[in-house]
Amino acid sequence: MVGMTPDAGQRSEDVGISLVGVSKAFGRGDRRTAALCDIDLDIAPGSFVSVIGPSGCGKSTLLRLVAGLLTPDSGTIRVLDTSPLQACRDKLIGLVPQSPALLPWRSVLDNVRLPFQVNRAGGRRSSAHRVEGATLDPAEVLAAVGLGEALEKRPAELSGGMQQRVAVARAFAFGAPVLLMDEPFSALDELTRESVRHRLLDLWQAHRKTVLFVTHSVAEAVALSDRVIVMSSRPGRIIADITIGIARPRGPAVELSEEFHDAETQVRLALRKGWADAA
Amino acid sequence: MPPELRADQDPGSSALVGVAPAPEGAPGEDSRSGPLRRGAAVVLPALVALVVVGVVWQLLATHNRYLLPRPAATWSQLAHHPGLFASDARTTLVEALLGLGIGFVAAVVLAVLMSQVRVVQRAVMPLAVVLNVTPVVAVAPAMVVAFGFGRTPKVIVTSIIVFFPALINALTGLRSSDPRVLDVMATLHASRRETLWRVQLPSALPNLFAAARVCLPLSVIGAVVAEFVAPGSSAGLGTLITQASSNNQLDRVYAAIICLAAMGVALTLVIAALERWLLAWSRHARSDR
Repeated sequence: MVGMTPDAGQRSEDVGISLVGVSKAFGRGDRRTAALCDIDLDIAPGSFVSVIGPSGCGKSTLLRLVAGLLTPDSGTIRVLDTSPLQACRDKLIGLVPQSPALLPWRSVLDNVRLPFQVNRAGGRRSSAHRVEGATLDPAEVLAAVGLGEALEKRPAELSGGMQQRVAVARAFAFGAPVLLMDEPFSALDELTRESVRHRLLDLWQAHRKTVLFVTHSVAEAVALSDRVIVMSSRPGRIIADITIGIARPRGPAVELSEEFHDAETQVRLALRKGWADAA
Repeated sequence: MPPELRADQDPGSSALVGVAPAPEGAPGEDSRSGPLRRGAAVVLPALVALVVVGVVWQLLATHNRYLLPRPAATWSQLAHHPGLFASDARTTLVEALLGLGIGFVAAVVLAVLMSQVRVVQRAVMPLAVVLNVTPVVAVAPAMVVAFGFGRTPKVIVTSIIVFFPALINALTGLRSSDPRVLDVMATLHASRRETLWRVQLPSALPNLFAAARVCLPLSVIGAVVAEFVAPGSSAGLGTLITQASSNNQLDRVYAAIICLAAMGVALTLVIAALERWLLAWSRHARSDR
């Protein structure tokens, strides 16, 4: 059940993100708690994979490991066939954190330009990876997420949903082929969430990137993903790997279909089974 | 000096506390009664308090002629010797600003080093605390022995007094960057310098301005205290106060005090204006939260 996907036997250059036997614990001595236990996961390049699970199941830890913000205690992680740190050096990773994390003194447009301005050498190296990920015009990406009118505004002048769309545009525009999104819409209300999600879907369908998307929301996971990875807590491990077969491109109407509800139910049942096993 | 004193009331209650000052009342001039009334509501209490202080001063002075000069006598000192007060004020101002500049820049540079290199923090912090708890008045004579009666000991004393609050505020500011922004910078493999310039220093600006608002009055204190201890150069408002009080010229002492207060007000207003201009984004961000 764990991580056995159709991509399992692929050649190494076809790996988007791969984790083999990854474990991570926090704390020392008696207080040491395992956050992730023996995780195997392969994500094909250009696919959209969501990780869902209860709080404390280590899904954010998983994402931070892939982003190179944490190092695993054991196991190996590869991002486009390099280490996470090398991937950061080559600017292959676009991170969308939980809060928009914009620079309040910069305009919306200048916030999206930030990744272009730092580590310029990394940008040149990333083109050597010959993967999907040409740089896009920041203003065009902002227009695509519905912020064409807000280019010169400061983040504080925008609503929470608009700020989060700026964060998505920032991760998208500079050409990283891998996107890591850590519950990016969790602070938004349901309706805003839905509209931001559709914007993200449109953008992703236009520019395929390998996406690892951490979320609490079943609907969000099903609507966006090719696969949904379900995790259980303490220690975090993968308990189900569900392929979402809904055809693309997906629009807002998909979320009303029978197929969508079936997939949602499947994910929900897997989540419940995780709770039952834990209890 | 009613104009300066009135100005004193405004920043005292607003700029120092960080609330938008005077200009709120200014639109009152364009005819409508609403803003006018609001302007009056801001200015009137301060004006009344000022008049009360003036009256109390006059009464006290009338009954204690040898302890307190009358306001009119103080005013006439200023009116009859403007050159004297102006040149002494300039001397003190230059000492204060030089000391402020040196102490502030040294503190910020050191705070940057401390935030980047842990060993530096461990080495410097205890020293900085010792420097902070040592009474600067006690240090001043030693500085005079070492550096003579010129400008140098005054500038050094001033920069010492300014250094610690600037250091602590700068450190706090440098650590106040949004950790998620730092995560984004890390995944871009931004260099330390890029992160410092593009994220940490701008995030620290509100704290640096808070430090400036604390350090400005301190710098004037530093300069005056140093002049008390080392009056040899026979210039500066502190020196003027020492000389005048030993000659029993109380009106001159009070005139010098008023000059010092006016200087403090003017400097505070400059900082407040700079802050409004540079930190427009910060006000937005704060009201948003």
